[in-house]
Amino acid sequence: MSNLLDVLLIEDDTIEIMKLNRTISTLNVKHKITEANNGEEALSILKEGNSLPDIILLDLNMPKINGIDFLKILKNDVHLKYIPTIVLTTSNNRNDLLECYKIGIAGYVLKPLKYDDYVSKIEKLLAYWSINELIKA
Amino acid sequence: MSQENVDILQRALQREKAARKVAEKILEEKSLQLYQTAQELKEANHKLEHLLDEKTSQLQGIFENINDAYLVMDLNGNVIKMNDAAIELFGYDIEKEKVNVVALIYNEDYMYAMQSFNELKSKGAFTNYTARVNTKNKGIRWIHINASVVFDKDKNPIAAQGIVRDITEAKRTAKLIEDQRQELDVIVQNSSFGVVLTQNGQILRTNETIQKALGFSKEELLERTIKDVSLKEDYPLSKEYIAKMDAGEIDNFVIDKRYRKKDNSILWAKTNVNAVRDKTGVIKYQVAIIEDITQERERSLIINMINEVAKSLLGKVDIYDIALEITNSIATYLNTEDCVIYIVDQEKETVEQIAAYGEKVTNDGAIINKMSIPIGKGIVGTVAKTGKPELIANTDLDKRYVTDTIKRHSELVVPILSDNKVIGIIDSEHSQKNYFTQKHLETLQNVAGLVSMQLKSAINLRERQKAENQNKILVKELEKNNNELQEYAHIVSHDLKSPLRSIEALTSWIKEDNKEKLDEASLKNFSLIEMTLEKMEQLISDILKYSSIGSNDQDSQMVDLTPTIQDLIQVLYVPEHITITILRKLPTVKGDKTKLQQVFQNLISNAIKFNDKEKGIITIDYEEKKSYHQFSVSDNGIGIEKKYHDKIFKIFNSLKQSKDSSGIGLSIVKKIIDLYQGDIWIESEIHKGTTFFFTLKK
Repeated sequence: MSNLLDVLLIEDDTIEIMKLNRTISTLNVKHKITEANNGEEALSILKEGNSLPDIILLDLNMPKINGIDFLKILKNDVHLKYIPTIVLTTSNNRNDLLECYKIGIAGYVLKPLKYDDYVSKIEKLLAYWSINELIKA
Repeated sequence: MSQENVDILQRALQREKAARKVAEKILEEKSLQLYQTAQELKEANHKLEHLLDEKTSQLQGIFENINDAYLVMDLNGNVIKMNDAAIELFGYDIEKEKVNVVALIYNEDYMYAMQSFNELKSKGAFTNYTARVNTKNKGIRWIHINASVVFDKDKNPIAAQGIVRDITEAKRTAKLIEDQRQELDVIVQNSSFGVVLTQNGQILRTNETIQKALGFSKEELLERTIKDVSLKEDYPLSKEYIAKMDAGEIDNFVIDKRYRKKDNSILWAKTNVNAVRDKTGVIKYQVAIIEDITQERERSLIINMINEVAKSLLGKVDIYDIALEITNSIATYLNTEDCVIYIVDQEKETVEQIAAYGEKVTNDGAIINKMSIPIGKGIVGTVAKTGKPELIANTDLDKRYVTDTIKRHSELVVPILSDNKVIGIIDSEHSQKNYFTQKHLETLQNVAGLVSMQLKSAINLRERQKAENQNKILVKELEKNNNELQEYAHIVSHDLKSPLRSIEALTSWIKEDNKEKLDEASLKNFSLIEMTLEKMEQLISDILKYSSIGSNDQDSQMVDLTPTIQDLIQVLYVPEHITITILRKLPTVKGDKTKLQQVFQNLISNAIKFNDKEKGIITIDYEEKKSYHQFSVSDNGIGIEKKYHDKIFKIFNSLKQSKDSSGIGLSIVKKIIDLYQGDIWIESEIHKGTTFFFTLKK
């Protein structure tokens, strides 16, 4: 029996948000998606919200606080650092990859060109996390 | 004859007879008187002789017993008495022959003898008569006489007596001594050594040599003590020896010490001190023999210093080390408190202090308050400009003088020349005026000549190090720029790829949402959009790859190419009709595995892509050359026209429109091979096939 996930999506691109939402509905899974358009917004959601998300899907290239900066803040926070964070990006920059793992991530997923491939990756990602035992805050 | 005449004559005769009678009578009376007088005289004479006899016998007792000759003579010089010593001296004996002293007088002394005789007569005595006499047997003798007149009872002089001493020997000895003294004086005066006689440090006598050497007159030296003309610094050493000498432990010592000349300059001298003691051993005098060794010392100092400099320069390449050694050696040689080495900075047109001796440096040799002087300014700057040394006797009179730590009064500045260009400056100062000499200047020039080569190469080394450092900085900057550029490429590629994903998503949604409504043509257009997007994606990826190629840490790994390429072939999509063969065992080469894979991948992919034959054959071959590895990838594909052979390696020069060709592949290959200092070229025949050759430097 798989868990329903509380997912925080940090993404500035509207179409990317649409892609995830459409994927969720296509896959017909009941995971809860919370959207944040940038790192700051995400931080305020995390700090104000009553409950913490189960996982975070994080885009790297964002205005203001970029993905890596956000990750650093997150991992420096005593409570927030336990949230598994999966990077979702088009950048296969090796430096970014190393830096992210160094700071602490739970996964690094490249956005493929084709939407179908995207759906397939997201499906697997969510399936994987939904069979994991998670810290419920 | 008349009677009258006869009468006259008779009368005259009678007168005459009468007169004769009177005269006879008078004569008779006078004769009697005379007789009586004669008798009296005879009597007196007797008395006198008696007296004389008495006196003589009295004196005889005295004089016969004295060793000196004794003479008595009458006033005419006739010797009337002489003792045995006199007989012995003169060789005459008055008992055998008459002797007159006048005959004895040596011719040349006659005037003196007469004078003395007159003096004797008038004054009654003379003393210290010294003259020569002719003796009978002994030739000419020097005699010394003290004489007095002998008077009778009426105080009339009647004789003279004298004590005669033969001083010939004494005289000769005295002359000998005098001669010897003069000889000695000549030796002392003309000695090339200075000679000083002292008593308790006070100068008693000096010779000309030391007078000249010190610049003092004889009189001036007499007013001085040894201390007055010595240097305080040398007191302790002298004192030690003097104490030993006073204690009687030594009679002689030799030290090298300094004397202060009248003009305040220094005389270095080897001083040999001898004690002259009295019978009880107490020092009466000290004789110092002083040998001027200033020049020798200077010479040996110069040689020492030059040796020292040469020795210290051996193996030194650092400009600061070299300069520090030089300043120390020079300061020791010049005995000065200040010496600074500058080097010329042609770019800034200044001279900079790089090493110093004295107050300018800390204990570990670092310069305090490093000065930089514009070329042409000050004395140092002037020398830097002209290349000519300067000897400043009095800096008060030189407006160019720049006070560094403290004002000093003499300055010596010598250029260090290389190919007639001033590369450095040796600058020394001294607090005294007129301190430096022409000799100092010449010596410093010698030193400057000695160090110029070393300094030049040190400067070159420094320049090279500067350049190397600059290169390092440049390389670092380049690396940084390169990294920034790569980051930038990644960002651009991300920003370009994101919209592609959005377009892809949107088109696929439209297609999906309108599945039933779209006609065949629209669906085909949709798939064209998809293909275009893919091509665009590929292009962006390839550009990113191309721009990411640069040297990195992985470039020096050893990569065994045989398994690497075999793995690569496994991964690649190889259509059924194509066979890939590796003809030979591939070598292990130095490089980045990923980059090497990229090269083979691109070449193999091209060979697959552009093959139009039923049975595609691709062969990979290798040939080892002396300094490089040579590889080849051959195919039996479409071939490339000669005119394109060069063009194909240029970016965006795809010859054939292809679904999966961005035109960047060969540019990537070329860039990697360039990075490994290799070459790439092709041999191709249209329709028959192509062989790509490339080399990698060993």
